[in-house]
Amino acid sequence: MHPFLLALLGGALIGLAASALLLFHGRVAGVSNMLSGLLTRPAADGAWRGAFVAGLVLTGAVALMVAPQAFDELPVRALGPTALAGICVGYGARLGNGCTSGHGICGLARRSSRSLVAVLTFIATAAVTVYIANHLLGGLQ
Amino acid sequence: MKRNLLALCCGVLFGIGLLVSGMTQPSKVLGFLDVTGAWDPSLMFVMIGGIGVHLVLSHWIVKRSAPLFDTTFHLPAHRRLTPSLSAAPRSLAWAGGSAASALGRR
Repeated sequence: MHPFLLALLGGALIGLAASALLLFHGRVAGVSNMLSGLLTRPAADGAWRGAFVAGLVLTGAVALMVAPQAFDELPVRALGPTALAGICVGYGARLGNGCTSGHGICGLARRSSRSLVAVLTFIATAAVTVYIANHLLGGLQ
Repeated sequence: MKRNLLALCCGVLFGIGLLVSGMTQPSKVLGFLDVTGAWDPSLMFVMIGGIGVHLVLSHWIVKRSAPLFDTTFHLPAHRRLTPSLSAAPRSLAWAGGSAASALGRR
């Protein structure tokens, strides 16, 4: 199947998963919010968050065993800057109240203006970053 | 128990969606962001599929008085645009982090 069709199909499955969570639990499928909720308020409603994240990780672990080609061979990078990048992404997702799943799929589907601004901003700045890294600094692949 | 099992299934389905769409490959995300290079629109199709399905289904779901396994919907009510609003500072942090990561590799 064409990669674009697979992308569309995979996206539809993600939308279906978000809809199922809304129907069953009345919750927004925002992964960064779930993770932060797990870490900061594990007692309050931690169970369903833990279960959802466990489902994600479980799927990834099974896929890694049966279809390792689904994952990129990642280049080895210096640990310090990678950790710093991770902290920045996590801090930013908290500050913006969401990430690609919560704002990008759920928020946009709910026609939230905040989510639209968030998504446009993080895609635009990320594109600028990639431009700088790929075309001015000589490549990041 | 049933409630948590269903949340686990939602997570599994979400993960399968990420796998099928190719979003487990960072190169696809970077390809989407590299608008002046070899642009890969895959991420756009993922968004169209996800938003399209969720737009239709959530519209129908929130008409219910309550979700199946909770007494109320937990949806963000605050819809006003605020400066911290979102993402500008976050994206700058993201940009800085990515650049740092890129430099760290060199």
